[in-house]
This record gives sequence, C-alpha cells and structure tokens, in this order.
Amino acid sequence: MAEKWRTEKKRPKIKVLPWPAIPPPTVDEVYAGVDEKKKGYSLWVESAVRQQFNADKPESLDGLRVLDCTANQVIGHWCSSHFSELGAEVIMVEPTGGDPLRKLTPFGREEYMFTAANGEKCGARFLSEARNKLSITLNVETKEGQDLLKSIIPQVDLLIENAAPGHYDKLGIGYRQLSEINPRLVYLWVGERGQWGPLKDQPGAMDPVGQGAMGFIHGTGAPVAFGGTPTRSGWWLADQVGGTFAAMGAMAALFAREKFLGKGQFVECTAAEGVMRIIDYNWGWHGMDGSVRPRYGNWDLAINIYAVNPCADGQIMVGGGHDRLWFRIWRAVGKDRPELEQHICEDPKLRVVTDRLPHYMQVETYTTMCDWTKDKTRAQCEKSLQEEEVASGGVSFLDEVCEFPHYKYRGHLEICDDTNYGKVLIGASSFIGMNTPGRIKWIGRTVGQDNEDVYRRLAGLDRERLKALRKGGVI
Amino acid sequence: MTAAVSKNLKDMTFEDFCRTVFDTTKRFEKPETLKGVRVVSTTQYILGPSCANYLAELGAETIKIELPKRGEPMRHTTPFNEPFLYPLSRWMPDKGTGLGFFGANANEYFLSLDFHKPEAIQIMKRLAAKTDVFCENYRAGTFDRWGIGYRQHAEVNPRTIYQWMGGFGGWGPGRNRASYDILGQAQGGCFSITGWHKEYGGMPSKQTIWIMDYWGGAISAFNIIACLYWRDNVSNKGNFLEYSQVHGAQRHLTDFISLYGKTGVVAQRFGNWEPLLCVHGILKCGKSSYPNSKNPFRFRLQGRGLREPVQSDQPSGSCQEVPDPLRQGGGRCAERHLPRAREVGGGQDERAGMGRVQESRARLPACVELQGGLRTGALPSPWKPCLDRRPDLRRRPDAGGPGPHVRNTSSRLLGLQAVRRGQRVHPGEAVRLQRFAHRRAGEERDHLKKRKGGYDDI
Repeated sequence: MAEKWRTEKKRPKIKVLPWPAIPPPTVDEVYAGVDEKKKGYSLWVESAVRQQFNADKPESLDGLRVLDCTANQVIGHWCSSHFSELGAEVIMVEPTGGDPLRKLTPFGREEYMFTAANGEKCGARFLSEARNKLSITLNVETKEGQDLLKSIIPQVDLLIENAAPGHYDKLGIGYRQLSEINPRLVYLWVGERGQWGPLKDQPGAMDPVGQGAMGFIHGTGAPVAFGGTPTRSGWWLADQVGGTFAAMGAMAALFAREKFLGKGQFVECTAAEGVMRIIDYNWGWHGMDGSVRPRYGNWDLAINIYAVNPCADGQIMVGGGHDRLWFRIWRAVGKDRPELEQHICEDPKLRVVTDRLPHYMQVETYTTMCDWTKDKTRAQCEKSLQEEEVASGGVSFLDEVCEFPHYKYRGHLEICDDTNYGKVLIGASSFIGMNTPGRIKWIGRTVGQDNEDVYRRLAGLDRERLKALRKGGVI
Repeated sequence: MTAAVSKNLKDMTFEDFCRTVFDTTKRFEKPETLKGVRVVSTTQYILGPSCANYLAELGAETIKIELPKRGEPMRHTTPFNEPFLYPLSRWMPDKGTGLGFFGANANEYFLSLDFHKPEAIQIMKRLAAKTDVFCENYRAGTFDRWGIGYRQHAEVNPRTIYQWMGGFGGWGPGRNRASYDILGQAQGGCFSITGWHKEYGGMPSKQTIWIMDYWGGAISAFNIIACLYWRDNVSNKGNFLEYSQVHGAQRHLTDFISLYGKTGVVAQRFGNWEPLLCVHGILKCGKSSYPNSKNPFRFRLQGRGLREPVQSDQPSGSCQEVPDPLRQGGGRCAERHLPRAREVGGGQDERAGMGRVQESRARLPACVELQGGLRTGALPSPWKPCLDRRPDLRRRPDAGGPGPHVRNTSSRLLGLQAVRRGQRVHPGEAVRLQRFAHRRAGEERDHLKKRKGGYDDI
C-alpha cells in the first residue's frame, strides 16, 4: 500500500513532449543574410562532416575486435565506447545475470529504466555506455568459462578487464597466460587504484574513490569562507577521464603493434591517475613552494575574468583575462553602467594582465561585474557580451541543453531507434570527422543477447554445446 | 628482454610482475609509440596544446608554433599571480612563465611565427608536406582564409590529419561564438548537475580543473591515433577532424540526456550524494570536533593567520571503514582554503592521502630541475604500459620561451640554412630567433638572483 501511495498518488502526471519540442533551425535559417564568402568555409565543413552522411563513410577501427570484460565500473565501458563509436567490434563480456550496473537507476526508480522488447529493464547509465556493443555472458570463475575465453583470445585484438588485482592472473586468464596464446593481444587493466602498490586491495571500486584520491574533490566547490565544502562532480568524472586515457593508451599500443612492434602489451590505467595528469598546475605549484591549491568556487585562480557569477535568472559565465577581451567585457558592461566600466578601467592596479590575478583583485572585479549582472537575465548578459565577441553563456540545465538550437542543429544529441529499446535520446559520438566519423548504430543489447552469434562465430560452438554451457551456468 | 628474465616473470607473484613490467624508472629503455609521427601544433590555451602534448608524450615529434614576443596566453596564467617558472624571457623581462602553461606543453619544440607575414604562410605550406598531424584551434575558418587550412594542406599532402578544436565548431547557429573551458561546462550542462542543490544552500559548481579542455584534448588525441591507424593500415588517406568543446560536455551527460528524452525529467544537483547508488558519496569524517571525541580536531594559528590543523597523537581512526582518499577530501585539507599554505611538517604522507598516488608520484622523476634552479613536481603519466615496450611519456624539460627551437627545426625541416644566432631569417621578420643565453646571460642571471631572493622572502 505504501508503495502504491509513493509511486502513484504523490507524483504529478507530467505530459512529456517528444524531443525536440522545438524543431532545430534549418540550414537556410542558420545562414540567412550571411554573404557568400563568409559562409563558404562553414558550408564546406558542414558538408564534409555532417552526421547524416556518416553511413556512407568508412569506420577507422573497422576490423578490430575488443573484449570488454569489465563489470560494475563505468571506466571500462566508457573506454570501450571510444572503440565502438569508431567501428571496432566491441563485445561486452558480462557475468551471468548481467552487469550490476544495469540495475542502477536514479533513486532506484524503475520507471526511469528502459525496457527492452523482451521485457528486460536496464538503467540509463549503463545503456548510454552500451552503444554499438554486443553483449555476451560468461562466468570466468568456472573452468569451462576460462577455456571458452581462451579459445576466443586468438581472434581478439584488445581485452579490457577490471577484476580485482591479480584475479584474472590467478584464474589463468591474466596477461601472462593470454599473451602466450596470442602475443598480439593488447591487454588493458582499468580501475581506481591500480593492480600494485599499498592500496591495491582496499575496498572502493567506484568513481568517488578516484575523484577523491587525487585532490579533485578537495578543489571543487566554494571555499569554506564562502560557505562551501569539498564537492564531487555530478558525473562520474574520474571514470570518464580515466577511461579516455585508458582508450588512448590502448589505441597507441595497437598503433605500435601494427607499426613496428608486432606484438601486444600490458597496459594499465587508473581513474585516479587520469585525473592526476590533467589537474592543472597543482603539482607544479606544490613542488615549488608547498602550496596546496585551494578551492575557489566558480572563479578561477589563474585567470581573471573567468568565472560563473549569479545574475537575475541563474548564473552567467564570462571569460576573458587578456587585454583584448578584458576591455571588451567592460565595454559591454559600460553600455548600461558607465560608472562600473570607469571604476575598473581607471584602476591602475588592474591594468596588466597578471596583476589582476591576486585574490583581492578578483574580489573587486567580480563584485563590480555582479553589480551589472544582478539586474539582467542570462540571455540579456549573453547578448550584450556577444555583441563584443566575448566568450559568455548562461549555465544551462538539462532541458535547456537538450533544446539548445546549436546542439540540435549539429547533432550533439540524437534519437537512436533501437530494435530492443525503441527510440532513445542519447548524447551522440563526439568524434566528428570528414572521412571516419564516430557514430551510434544501436543503443545496447539485453543480457547475453549475442551469446549464440558470438560463440558460434568465434568459438565454433553448436546448439547442443551452447545449451550445455547455459545449463551449467557458464554462459 | 632476456630469456632468464622472461622465465622469471612467469614465476613471480602478480604484484611483483606488475612492479617489474610497469617500472617507471625503466621508461627510457623502451621504444616510443608514436616515434616518427610529426605533429604541428598551432594552438593556445589548454584544449589544443594538451592534445598535441599527449601525442608528444607518446613520442611524436611535436612542433608548437606561437606568436612571437609574448607567446601564447597560458604563459601569463598562473594562480594568484604568485608562482612563475624561469628563465626570464626576453619578451617578459619581469616575469617567468606561468604554471598554467606547463600542464600542456611538455616534450615539444617551440617555434614562433607571425602569421600576418606572407613568409610565415610560406613556411606553414612547406611544413604541410612533411607533417602527419596538424592541431589547430584558431577561430574556425581563419587558417582556411589564410591558405593554410585543411583544404590547402590536403592538396600538398593528402595524408594530412587535421584536427580542429574549439568551442562551438565551424558550422551551425553558434559558429561565431567564442568559448572557454568553463563555457563548455556551463552551457554544455556540466555545471547544472554538480554542486549542492539550491535547497541545501548550494549552486551549480565548476569542476575545478579545466576539464573540458584537458579531456577534449585527450579524446581528440585518441581520435588522431585512430586516424593514424586507419591511414597507415587501411586507406593511406588523411582526415579532417573537428572537436567542439560543448559537444564533449554533452558526451559526459550520458544518462541524464536519455532520462530527459524518456521522461522529461531535468537532472538536478545532489551535491556529494549519488542518486544512482546508496551509500555512495563524500562524507565528512576523520577528526571530529565533538566534545570528548577520541580524535579531536584542533587548530592553531599559524603565521599569516592560516588555520592549520595540528596533528593529533591518535591516528584518524574513526573513518577506517571509509576508503582512505576521502579523508583527504573531507578532513584535514578541507580546512585550508587560503593559498600558499605551507606544510607544518611531515605533511607529505598525509597530504597524498593515498599510498598509490603517493607512490606513483615517487616513482616518477619527482622533480625536474628546470633552468633557474626552481623545482617543479613533474606531472605523472596516466599510462603505465609495460615490458620492453612503452607507449609512454617521458618528459624533457620545457623550454623557456617562444621560439628557442627555431634554429634546429627550421634548418632541419625547411632547409633554412641561413639561420644563425641573432640573424633574421627573412626580411619580413617572419621567423625570429630568440636570443637565448649568450648575449644577455649575465643580465638575466643577475635579475634571476634578485628575483629569487625576493621570492624566498615572501
């Protein structure tokens, strides 16, 4: 009864318009009134890279076969998404019963899950990283499972796994054993804290461990003095950054294999180290004088103006520390509030680009700026700043992002009509290219949907054998 | 690798095996993955340079071209205008190079070219014939207008891979808009789902690092390597690639977009809690300020009024169940919000918070001796590939200012034999040779001494 009250009565019925609620602009609308010479380049790029021509083009990684043996972590799936978007045949090897990530849905609400044609439910987080991938199940803990995996390995180019450190090695399917079967195999291990080192066996395999491990959380959010706390990123940042670095490392290994090496190798990438690599100047600064980078909210320690500040209906980003943009920003402000422009531009301490960076200078700058933004909406701020060609934009929420004309026009989001899950709105591949663009061909598969196809094709199993394996809990 | 060692590798424990094959001290004994690939990077800020930098870390010969004199803007970008790295350059006599520059420019050769001069355009055209990858992030279409874009390069060298990176892309309604990393985050939707909800006193928050830039560079570098693979093994054809920063942000919104499409639900911020998993968040833990706490959290005033937590006698045992690194995020370091906090002592261990990170920092060449004697922590490599081979990074010290490699590169690649120290190559000053150590050596040394002394006193 309680369940019924919670799920049915309390929630208002929302009528959901199909996406896009507003149709994207047409080509004529976009280029109306622009002279031929100016739009020449845009039209050329557009004709070269527009996604509607993708199906006619080749795929750069066509022919590569990737086994994605990861489970319960986004990092491995994120990594293999790079390969599947560019045309590699990516096979997700899930434990029997499916990857636990399939069950994740916000607040455990089933109505937010996607239902396949066969009635199976799948959470959105997993589904968006199952793009273009096949799904098979395999219990690698069993002897038959290990043998089956080994029998496929000669036909595999890249294997990705995230089991506990040394687990696959113990099972006899680690790098040391598989590289003997197939020396050309590139073997990638991904995870949060690595396969070696003092903390390798500590619990904690999820993204916040990675985020917290290298100072990202410490640095994100407002300072204590502004009422802030260390804050994690709303998306699984460490996994997603680490996954991209893992993909780059594995791709480089494949490139080297073809180019001069002739054999594969063992690659390891962890989420923590991926973010460590890109955490700005933190290490350099610490190495110099022991400084620990402080949290600085939505301002930037190293560039002034470069911040998101409140305005009448939300927050507005304004950026431009260098003289060219600095004076343009204040010119835009000065159109409404000349006294603010005068206040900043006549301040001798704000004249040189680097002199604007100390904290008290930033406080002065943004206090003055907010005096202008507080009365204006995001759109008004954007308009007056963009008239001066300054980088600026409002903080957009998900509905605004999904309905943003530029994104719709460029196909940053697309509806994929999937045989299993029907029409799903999805963030498109960000590989835009002339000859070999990334693309989304299907959303995902149900648990073990491709068992028969893959095992027949790669392992030569027949119907009886498949049945026996299924009965034995191997697949 | 000898047979004896190989046999040994099979017998040792898995952890020892990993230690051996991923040994970062053996980096320079392994081959470079992208050796022989030449990259020309006409980029500034972080997005473009980081892409070229990843390729350089993997062994590509990367030539970075900046405008003469002031160089690229990141050289003047440093937190609170405090730390700068030396040497002083001729064009910035009072300043060194800002720290923002060093995360995205390692291992590169530095040229300076003024594209306003016709000779510079000629040089770019001649480079096109010998270059595999171009990274560029000028406003879309600018290079095309100057005659050094993909369309012109492809005529000379059809195997060119040309990666354009930028904010909104070269086409579509927003094509003329400028962009920065946080604009990608803000308008791309990443802000709106990070930070605490309004009801909890929070607001949309920035991911603290220039994530859309550094990550955009990474995914572009991945795409470039994939295109190199396709070019060398399949098609013998180059490619034109476009990466838009705001597009990258949408790629990160994964399930939020699908949920909006299905149910119309607009994802909200849940601060340190994770809507997908319970319990799965960042909680404050460790030392407690409750009365009679076993593990008290005290402060004392340090010089300059910094609040520094005093190390308690007892280990911070109250958070044993929670993974270690969270202690760093939620506990001690959280209280330091002022810049330039100095460690009280023995702080290294606790700051690193996590053995592995700490170790991986120690494994690396932890400090690179740069010119001027200042030390900087080297950036660690995210990859640790193994065995006798390595698609792996190694770092050469960054060069001091724009253009120190003019002589080397221009004579080697372009046959500009006339380049001698201090002599202009072209009448139009297209290429300027940066006069480095010799003429001004004495002067710079003096200046440096003065500056250093002053710095230590701060």
